[in-house]
Amino acid sequence: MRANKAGTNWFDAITNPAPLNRHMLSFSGGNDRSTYYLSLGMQDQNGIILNQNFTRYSLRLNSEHDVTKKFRIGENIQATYLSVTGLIGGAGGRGAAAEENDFLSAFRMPAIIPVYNEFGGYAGTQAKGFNNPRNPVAARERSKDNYGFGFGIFGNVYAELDLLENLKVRSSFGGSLGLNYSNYYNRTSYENSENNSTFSYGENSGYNRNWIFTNTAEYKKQFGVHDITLLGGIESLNVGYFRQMSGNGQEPFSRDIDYITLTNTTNRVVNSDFRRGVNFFSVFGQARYTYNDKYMLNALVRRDGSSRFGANNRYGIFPAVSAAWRISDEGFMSGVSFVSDLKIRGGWGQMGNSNNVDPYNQYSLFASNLSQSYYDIAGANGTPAEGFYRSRIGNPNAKWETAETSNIGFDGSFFDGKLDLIFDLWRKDTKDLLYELETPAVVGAQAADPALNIASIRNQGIDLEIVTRGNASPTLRYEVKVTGSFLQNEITSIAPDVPYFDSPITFRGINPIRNQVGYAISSFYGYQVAGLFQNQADIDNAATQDGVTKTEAATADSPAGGIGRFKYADINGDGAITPDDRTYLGDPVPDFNGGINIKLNYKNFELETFFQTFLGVDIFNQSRWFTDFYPSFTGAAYGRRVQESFTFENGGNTTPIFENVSNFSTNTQSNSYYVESGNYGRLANLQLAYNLPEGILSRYGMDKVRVYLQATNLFTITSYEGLDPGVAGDADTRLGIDVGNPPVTRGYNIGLNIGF
Amino acid sequence: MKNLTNILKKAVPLTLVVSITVGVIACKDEFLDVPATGQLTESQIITLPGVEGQLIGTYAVLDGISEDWHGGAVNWLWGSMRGGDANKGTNAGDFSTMNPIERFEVDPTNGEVNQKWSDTYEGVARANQVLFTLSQLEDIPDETKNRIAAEARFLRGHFYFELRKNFKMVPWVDETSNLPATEVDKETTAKGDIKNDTDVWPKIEEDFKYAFDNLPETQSAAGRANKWAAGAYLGKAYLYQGKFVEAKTMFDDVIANGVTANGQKYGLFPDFGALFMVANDNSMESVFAFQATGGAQNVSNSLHELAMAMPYNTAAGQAAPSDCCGFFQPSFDMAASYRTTAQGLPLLDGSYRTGANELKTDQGVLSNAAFQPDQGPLDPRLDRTIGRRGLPFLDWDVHPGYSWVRDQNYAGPYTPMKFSIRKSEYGTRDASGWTPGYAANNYMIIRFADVLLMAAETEVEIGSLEKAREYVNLVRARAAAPETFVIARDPADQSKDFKDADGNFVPAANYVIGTYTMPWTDQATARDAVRFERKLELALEGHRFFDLVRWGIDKDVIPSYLAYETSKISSHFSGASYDASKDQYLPIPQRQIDLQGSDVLVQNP
Repeated sequence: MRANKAGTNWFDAITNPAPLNRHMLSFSGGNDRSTYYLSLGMQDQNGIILNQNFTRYSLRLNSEHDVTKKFRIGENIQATYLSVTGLIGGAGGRGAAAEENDFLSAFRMPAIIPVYNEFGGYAGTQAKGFNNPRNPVAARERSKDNYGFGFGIFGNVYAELDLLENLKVRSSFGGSLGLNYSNYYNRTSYENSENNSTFSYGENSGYNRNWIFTNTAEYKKQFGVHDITLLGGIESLNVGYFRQMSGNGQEPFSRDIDYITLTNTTNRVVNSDFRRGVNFFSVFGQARYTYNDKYMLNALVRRDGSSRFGANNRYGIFPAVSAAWRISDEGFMSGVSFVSDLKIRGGWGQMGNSNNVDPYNQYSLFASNLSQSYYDIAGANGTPAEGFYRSRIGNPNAKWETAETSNIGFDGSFFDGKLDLIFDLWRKDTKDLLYELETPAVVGAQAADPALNIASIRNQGIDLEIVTRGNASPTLRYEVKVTGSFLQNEITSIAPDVPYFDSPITFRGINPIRNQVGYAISSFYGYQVAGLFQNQADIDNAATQDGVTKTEAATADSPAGGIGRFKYADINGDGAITPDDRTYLGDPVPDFNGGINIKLNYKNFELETFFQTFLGVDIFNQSRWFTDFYPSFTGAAYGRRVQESFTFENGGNTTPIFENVSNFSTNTQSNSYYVESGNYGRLANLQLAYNLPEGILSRYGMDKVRVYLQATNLFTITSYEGLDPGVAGDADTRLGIDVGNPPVTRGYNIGLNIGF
Repeated sequence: MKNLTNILKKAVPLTLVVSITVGVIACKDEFLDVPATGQLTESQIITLPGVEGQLIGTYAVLDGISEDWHGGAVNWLWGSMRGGDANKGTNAGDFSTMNPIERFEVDPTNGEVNQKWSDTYEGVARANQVLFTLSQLEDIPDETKNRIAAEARFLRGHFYFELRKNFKMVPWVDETSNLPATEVDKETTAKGDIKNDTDVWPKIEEDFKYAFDNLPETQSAAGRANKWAAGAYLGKAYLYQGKFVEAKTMFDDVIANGVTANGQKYGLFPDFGALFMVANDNSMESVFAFQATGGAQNVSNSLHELAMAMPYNTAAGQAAPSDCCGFFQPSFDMAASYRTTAQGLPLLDGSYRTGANELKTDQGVLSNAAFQPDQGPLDPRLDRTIGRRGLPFLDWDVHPGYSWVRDQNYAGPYTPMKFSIRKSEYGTRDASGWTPGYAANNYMIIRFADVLLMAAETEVEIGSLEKAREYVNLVRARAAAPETFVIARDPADQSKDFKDADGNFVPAANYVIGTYTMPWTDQATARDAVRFERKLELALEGHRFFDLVRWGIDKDVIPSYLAYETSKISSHFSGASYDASKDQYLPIPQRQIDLQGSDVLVQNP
């Protein structure tokens, strides 16, 4: 393999500009008894990374027909074909940030390695001292034949009858059916330091369905200034039914994809699974009373039942009330002319949640599983014997988790609608939070832990929206909308005697997440770096710390040293760095997010921009482990920060010394070196549109023709050093961890809307 | 149209009736009873086949949970690496949570420590579940019931033995104490009173005794524990406590009468070099083993704990078993220990580390530079245990040194060999994993040579030194058999064994090994000889650290080991030190203390 002296830009090598193609055609029409709406859509979008594609075709049909003046029937149906290939990240891509993926490989790959060797094959890290990322171009290209699609149809049919003058009953039945299929080729590699030596092929397919049946009756009546609405209903539904099968096998005789089927592979493994889903049954009622459009009262109560809970706690009753007062209609406000409309409102309510409970939470179960419980008891090196293990500890006493919300706020409109203000102060206390507290290992760690109603979380915040609009000149209209939300998240209790729990998730041995009462969920936890050891005296004077050696502790075989490594803060001041010195390093929940949306209309032109910002948020930039520390895998560390490493000549107090040592004082601990501010602002949208004048349109029998140019994610302002500060996560328990967060992409769109 | 309207008018009440009916059905509680699918309920499992299956599930944890690297019985990390047989291998950053373990800097938050604890207690929990289920069963023959109970208690004894030797003070949980039955109430049970304030040795003895008294001599399957496996393990438990009298009685019985579960009289398998081959699983030497298989298409049934302990950077399947990942590299000290005197005896005084005695290594020599391997007298077990430059690596290529080692500067020149996959057995491995190293050979938790050497220990302490010598000589005589000698490759054709002009095979090194021919008269010397034999014979098999601790010589041997290795690979061990008062046992995982309470689980010093 010849070195690429010009340097390989691996990020360029795995990415390319990605065209997006989106078309939609819709029709609507009808007569005085019937209406319909039909639309057809297609979207074909490549990802910026090689061999990633998103294709969707959809059909939507809605219609309603008045059978009589008092009886209507209708339906909504949507059918979709969706194919997503080459997706990065689990959970539909949301898990990408916390995974070691091809983006991470791209910036771990040494630039001196070319993409291809001189014989046309792939080049990679097989030569020693080049770390162990896999050639990401090869990885992408080897997966180019992987394919998958889902076909789904969902919709509902309904009938509505005006039973009495003020009483309307409605019955609706809805459901969905989804089919899916996918296959993959896991090809062998040769160019990497750690290779895949077995060719394997797999296929998956299955279907899922759900249904919902809702019946409601609504009574509406006005007596003079009194306005009353009463609503009652019952609803039953099933969600989450599926059947799924998958198979894989190895080493087909030929690797030609025209030849490969599961039948033609060896060592085949077949798996299948099914679930009956979860059933819900709810009864609900609502009453609304309005006096003269000035005083408004609303009360709601519902009783929800879920099969996720055992027979004793199946049902929960959840009331809610709210009230509003249009103060601007009061006589004493009549003199205040700049107030066009002002409404003060407040509310309190409870909502049940059962979504974070496994459907089998109530059952104690056993399972057989090749990986968990099979054993070759015969000692014949053949297929192992089937065994069983406890797969779930049941909790039949779990009950609904309750979110209690209270809010107070106002909606105001001033100066004849030139200025709107919306303000909300809110709090949401989640009680009896269903949490799967880890069972102590002495009881057996493998059985799934049941959700228990033990924790509680408080979210509270302020939401603010300011809109100002008007005409700067007769032909120039403007609207500026500023939104801002302050959010505070805090764990208020976990379980009796359990002050905190560490996330079981580790990243290359680093465990950065702790959940503790009094802190935000998924907070970052570890050692606080107080700088780098500048010299031996610095080490000798500091607290005792593993990974560096004081002069007084030095022996012939282990000399004093450790200059240039992390110096951790001795939080408890006991003169030694121990796990007790770990502390909170930041949290991934933004304190503030806001946006500015500006719309300008000049004659037939429209200009619209949207700028958004997230502040008070931290990111645990785990990718630094790969890019900043030479021994992470010998030859790792190709980041820019490495150039600022401590050296004996130049000193340095941020990036540790570049050396082949991996210990407590270098790269093995969660510490504040990895934590960065995730604050950013981004111009998310900039769009210029032109509407053809009506005069021209009418000549061609058209209602509307709109042409637009759009740019998305034009720029981002941030100090974050990773690829992109928009680091999400696929679960509340691992937010803001950046291992290989795919960047948002800048997009340019041209669009045309035509209406007849 | 009018007709249609009329029909619909009539149909409307019907629609309402239908919806109300469904509503009523939905009100019934059955609608909200959705049974579990794809798993078994307790009523299905409380049957004879159900409890037999749970027993299989208990055996399945012998190698830890699923694919965990360090939760099982192999103990390469906990026994061999900490004991100085080998270092972590590979490079400094790879799997860096192991680094503090070999440097004795481990803290209670280390994830590997929690894995060992959790995986082992999973074994305890499954054994307890077998016993609990058995107690719910009626109408099964006593013989069956006793056999199942005895196997479960044997396994529980094994898991507690693992816990005792790694963690010392551990909570005793059994089938009566804290099993979550049909309901769980964590606040009162799981966090309950399972303290680690009592030594569990007596309980371990009870389990093995019960197993010894109730297990049959032979079993329906080779992988099951039998009476003699229980006897050997009971003897080992006595030995660990210094109960030499009881241990000797037990070992004498096992040596005289023991048979394997498949009915072979215990003995030393004649070919040390082939002892660890897949084909020789469950030989006469196998007292109790984790049964690995490559036939599951699921790597957790293979010898997965050692799957990454293979040469690095090779043509996998052609030159060597795997090209990944270079863990578990034998230490300089371990390799050098195989130096023998002209009489073929080991250098018990430690002089194997000095001067001309020291084994010649290719440390710092690139693969394309010339290197001649050591020409001095060596115990042939060296080249059946450790891969080194210039010698055939099993039936693969000749070991090229540097290029098969991931970071020689960090971890030294050696490659682990004992459990490596052979070329002739390449097809037996489990090929479904990401790396080719998932081998099908068993790991023997106790083998007969181990029993003989433990018996020799008891003889040294309370019996006859001559009997001890006899046992040690049995082990050495087997090692001295010509089968142990690695044959050099033909210089003209590296794929063939080398024969001299007379047609005799040419050994790959100067193998000189003999038995102790002079009577043993000094107890201390005999003790040294037995202990050193144990080191040589059982190298890389996960025993060494625990042996050092129970002998009480860890406080001298380990610092000396660290100093010697630091002189060879300074970046690896520089600054590491061993403090017997805190490093003899692993810290109890902080995570478990957090979950159970520091008043229940008390940390080791």
